[in-house]
Amino acid sequence: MTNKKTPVLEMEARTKCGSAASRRDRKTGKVPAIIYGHGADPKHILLDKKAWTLVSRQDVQIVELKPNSGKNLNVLIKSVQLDFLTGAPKHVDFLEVKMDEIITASIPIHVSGTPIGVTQGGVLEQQIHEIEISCTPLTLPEFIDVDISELEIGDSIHVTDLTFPEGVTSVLETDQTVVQVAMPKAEEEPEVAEEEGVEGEGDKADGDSEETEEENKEDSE
Amino acid sequence: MPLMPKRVKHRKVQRGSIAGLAMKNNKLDFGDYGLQALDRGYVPNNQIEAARVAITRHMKRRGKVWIRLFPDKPITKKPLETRMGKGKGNTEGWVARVKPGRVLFEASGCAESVAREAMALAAAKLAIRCKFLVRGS
Repeated sequence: MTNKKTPVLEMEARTKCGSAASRRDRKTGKVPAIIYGHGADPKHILLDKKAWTLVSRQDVQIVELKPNSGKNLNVLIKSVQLDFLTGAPKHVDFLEVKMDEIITASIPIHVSGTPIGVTQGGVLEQQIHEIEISCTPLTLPEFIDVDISELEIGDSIHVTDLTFPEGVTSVLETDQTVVQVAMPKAEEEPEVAEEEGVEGEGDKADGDSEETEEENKEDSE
Repeated sequence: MPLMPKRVKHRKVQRGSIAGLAMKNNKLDFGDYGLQALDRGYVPNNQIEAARVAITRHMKRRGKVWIRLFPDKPITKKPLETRMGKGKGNTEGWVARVKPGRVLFEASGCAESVAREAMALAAAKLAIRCKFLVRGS
């Protein structure tokens, strides 16, 4: 949950917007992005794809953007669009933030340890993988760590059970389940096989009867 | 029971189109691991069932498996040695329409190596190319 050093990314202004221009930019190794917030006009920018990929591999929420001229901007990574087939970045949304204002951000939940219930045959089910929190950018953690090693079958951890660093509060409802260890469901495979066999025979019988009917018709003609 | 709808509005349907990419159901929504389609095509219910059995058996019934596709399209076929005409054939099976990017199966509650092997076995049962997905990568 430690705060790493804020990574710095170089950016350049984007002159042409729209899907066709963005596609051309992506072909040249750039990632289209936008910065908005604080009631100002949105800024369309371009990032270097390699630099962005390196930053996105880290669990960071706040990035410092360095323009060609002017002051650096502290921004929150609001959303990242990825190509769902190749995984390549398509577009990034940044929210401009002041380092002392309260923001809401979505951070990942990391579970650690093997629950006692899982060793007894239970199934670990993680209901929420990300949690929305409210805090200042300076106190924004990279992730929330949840120790699940004490969970037995039937036990669960709710949002209220999570421990947040000082100055961080959850936006989610408190009674929402984060992780639980459930009983495994028994399967009845042999019965399925038997039923399939019966159905298949029925279908074949129907098909045969129709074939014979049609053959009879043709013969009579 | 084979995977098929309980009740349908129309017994026979036209072929339709499966053009384009999967614009929804293209991300991991439930589990930590998944199998994503790279091709388009019809996946019959027997292939879905075979893939499900392969996954659950390899995971030794540990963990949890989600089936993210359902065969809701009836496929008809004319009987053998039948002359053309006389109407559309009878329903012979049920298929799911799959576009590239569609997440077909998801799993959680097991090691990545186990899930990877289980999904590879499942992919071998399907007539379309697939790739393995891991949450967060």
